[in-house]
Amino acid sequence: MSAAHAPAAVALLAARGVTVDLGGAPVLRGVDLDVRGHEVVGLLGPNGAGKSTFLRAATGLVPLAGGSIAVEGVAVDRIARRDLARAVAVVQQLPEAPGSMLVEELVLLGRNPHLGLLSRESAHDYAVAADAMRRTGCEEFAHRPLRTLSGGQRRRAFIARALAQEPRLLLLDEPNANLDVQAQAEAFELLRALARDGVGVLVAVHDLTLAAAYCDRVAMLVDGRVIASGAPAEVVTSEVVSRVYGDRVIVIPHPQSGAPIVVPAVMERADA
Amino acid sequence: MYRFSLPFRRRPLLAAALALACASLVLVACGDDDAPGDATTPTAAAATASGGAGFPRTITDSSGAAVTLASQPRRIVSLSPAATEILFAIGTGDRVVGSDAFSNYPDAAGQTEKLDYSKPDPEAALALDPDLVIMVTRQQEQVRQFRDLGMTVLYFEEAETVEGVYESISLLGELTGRDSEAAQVVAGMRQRVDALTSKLAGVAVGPRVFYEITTDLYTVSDDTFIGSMLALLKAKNVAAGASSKFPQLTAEAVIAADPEVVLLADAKFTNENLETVAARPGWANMSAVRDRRVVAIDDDIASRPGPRIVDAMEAIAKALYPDRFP
Amino acid sequence: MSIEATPRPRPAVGLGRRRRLATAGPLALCTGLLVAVAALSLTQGAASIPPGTAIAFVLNRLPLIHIGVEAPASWETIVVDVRLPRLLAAGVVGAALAYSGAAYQGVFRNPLADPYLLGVASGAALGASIAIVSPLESSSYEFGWVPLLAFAGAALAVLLAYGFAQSGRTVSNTALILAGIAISSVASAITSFILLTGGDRAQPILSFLFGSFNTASWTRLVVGAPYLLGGAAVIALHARLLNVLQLDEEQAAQLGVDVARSKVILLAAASLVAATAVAMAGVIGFVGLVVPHVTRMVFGGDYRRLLPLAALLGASFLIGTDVLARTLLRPQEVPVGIVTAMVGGPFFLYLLRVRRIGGFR
Repeated sequence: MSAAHAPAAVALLAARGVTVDLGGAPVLRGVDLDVRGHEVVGLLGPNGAGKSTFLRAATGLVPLAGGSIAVEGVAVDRIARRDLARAVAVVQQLPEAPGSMLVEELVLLGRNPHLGLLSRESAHDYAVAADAMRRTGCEEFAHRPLRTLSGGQRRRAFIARALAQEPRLLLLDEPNANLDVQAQAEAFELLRALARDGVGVLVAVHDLTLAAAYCDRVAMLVDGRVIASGAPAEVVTSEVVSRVYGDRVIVIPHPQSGAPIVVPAVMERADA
Repeated sequence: MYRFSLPFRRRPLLAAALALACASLVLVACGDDDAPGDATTPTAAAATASGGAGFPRTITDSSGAAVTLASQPRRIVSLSPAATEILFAIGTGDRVVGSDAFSNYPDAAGQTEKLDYSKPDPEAALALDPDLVIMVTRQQEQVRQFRDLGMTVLYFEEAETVEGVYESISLLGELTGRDSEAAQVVAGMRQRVDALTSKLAGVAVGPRVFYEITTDLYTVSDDTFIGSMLALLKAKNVAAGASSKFPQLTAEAVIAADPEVVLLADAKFTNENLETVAARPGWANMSAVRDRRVVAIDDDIASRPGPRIVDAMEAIAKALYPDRFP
Repeated sequence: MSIEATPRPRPAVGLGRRRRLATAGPLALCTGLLVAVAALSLTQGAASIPPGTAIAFVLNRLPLIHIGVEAPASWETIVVDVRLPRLLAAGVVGAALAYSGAAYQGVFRNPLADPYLLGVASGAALGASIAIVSPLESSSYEFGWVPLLAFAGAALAVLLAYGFAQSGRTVSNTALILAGIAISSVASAITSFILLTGGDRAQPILSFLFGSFNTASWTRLVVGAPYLLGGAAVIALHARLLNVLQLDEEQAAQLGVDVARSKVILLAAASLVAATAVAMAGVIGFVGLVVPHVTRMVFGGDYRRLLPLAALLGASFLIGTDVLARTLLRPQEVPVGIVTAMVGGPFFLYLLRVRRIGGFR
């Protein structure tokens, strides 16, 4: 746990046969998934497939009905919360926070797992927080209260808080929701940059095109099961996509990179 | 935040005082409803010759209502400890069939049927089949309810001066056809009070006194009958200037006034005595403590505007002037 | 959100320094207010003692200070043995209630939380009532049976509320609040019953319910201090965790906080502080609710700043209202709980009006 970078052989996150029941209803049924350092893994699937539940289970917040989840080789429920928070950071989809809290205050909270009961933030902690804000472009609104931020700014602030944790594994739930195209691209470019630095990234995402463009691997989750996983080009195919989403969408290759692009299969247009 | 759901009840004296404040508000609020202007002092009406023994007689009570008694009452319910003591003192105690829970003197009063003091149950009163119910300030709001049920109710506000106690005794005497006995009781009381005051003829200024009702320094002002007793005894009540009848003084005010005598009406319950008073912060150098003049007073006697106030007055006089009342 | 660093004006080190400066100013301001109110309190009272003389008496108690004072001996007694312990009691209780109120509001993430939420006040009132009507000997000036049973009642109420609300290792805020309300209602009902049947003992019970510093003494301060300081120290250690808890409990867990454990520790410490305060001075409402809230509205929600500022303002507020309680009807006393509500309520409404931001949303 103490090593800054786990050996590549040990997956940062290793889920085996993960099964979760919430109120008697099965939400996840035997999910297998690995995330290693240096890679961005996309967790795809329609609404209600169980993506968010998997992320919560990965931080030990949901009891497992079966299977196991290990972080750096240790079962999550056997890791102290503080140790876990030093290894894993989470960006929730719509996280709550007091509207009067300043962005810099929020980001500094990311240093909490690195601080003891008696210690105050050191110059190093402030530097890490400042760097996290720099990387996410939060500096210009760092001193503003959260309630004054736009949706995109707010999301960046929470990503900055996660970065301030200096995690080896970063979990994000729909980080691109409510962002415009430019901001979405920036967000995913940041994830790629983090992966270059060695961080393992698991990102739950709706947008198949975006995932295919930026992820090293993706897994398609449907009704709590992984129905396909592997390189984007292997998973985001016409066959898989039409199985999951019906025949109203088609998959075409990106004109430059060849990565799959999912677009509506327009049958007819009023002006055609 | 703490909530409590029931009205409180203190010793009858304090409760009466608080109820009086409420009652006066009610009187103002419902003005001409059933309370005419000069409703404070009960007076015998002209229906019969004052002092005569004949019935029926009509008396105007504290609420301004004319109370008519067809014949001498035989079944009396008294809802005031002071009234109960008066009824027994004027020799009509054997006709008291019911009384409030605080009426415990004389012993025979304790054996009558008991009703609640602050909220007497009209059904329990009716069951006693009374021909006279005596109600006081605390039960003011229930007077109409009792009357509507067909009971004959005398409502009177408890006395707040020694003179007022005499009037209460005369009123109850008149009401029960015991005029001469009442006059005798009053005369006896006057005699004992005169005996006290005559011994104080040579006193120009009496001692400064603090009359303690509770350990957190609730006391009495001049507008209470304890206050009026202290005044008759020429003592200087340190709470004289207070604006309410039962004010709570700051500890500093008591210490700064430097009373020469401290009377502990709370001693029975709190075990307060000279030593505990001396141990209070800042009290050790008080004149009363230095001269060891901290005296316990039986609050039961002192807090009821009935015949025994003379006992209380004698006890207080003794505490104030030990050299004159050995 | 650019990945490559473009030059930015704000240097990284500025962040920490700015935060320390933002704390120093308000701390100095609130300390100044406390000193001023304390001086006012020392110079006001039933006895007309010149202000300078009163202050000199107190300063003379400090080491190395000797100011010649020509005054009656009784004046020194009044200032040092009556006014000073009363001032300190009001300050200590005000600080304690505001401090523990801030912790309660933090744990529950709710501006309506106050130190009495889990039954401290009702439990203490019941304990005190039992001590008052029982034949146990008690002097109201020392730390006798009344404060002792009040403290026990408060502790028992909170433990019961927690026990009923707990399921497994976790305890939900809603369950806690509901259990607290239920326990409070039961305790209040029993107290009311004692009040009703207590006859002559009703007045001391009522005095406890209103709260007062009229019987403040050095003994009580000395006996209560360890509990107050201990509880406050534990809360102070958790100030940063309180900040994390302002996010929801799931985020707090993801930021390394053992939420269940922190909640138990914080609620226990805050209840200890509140129970001691109530045992010392009776049930004084309003302070624990409004002072932390006002502090948050004015100085922001960072608990490392909020806690000490709330304590200073709570002390100033209660010392100030106690001055009014002692002097409004001089030489009479007005129950201080009545004054806190009369003075604090309108001020709070004014703040709500002027600064619409609540601080929690």
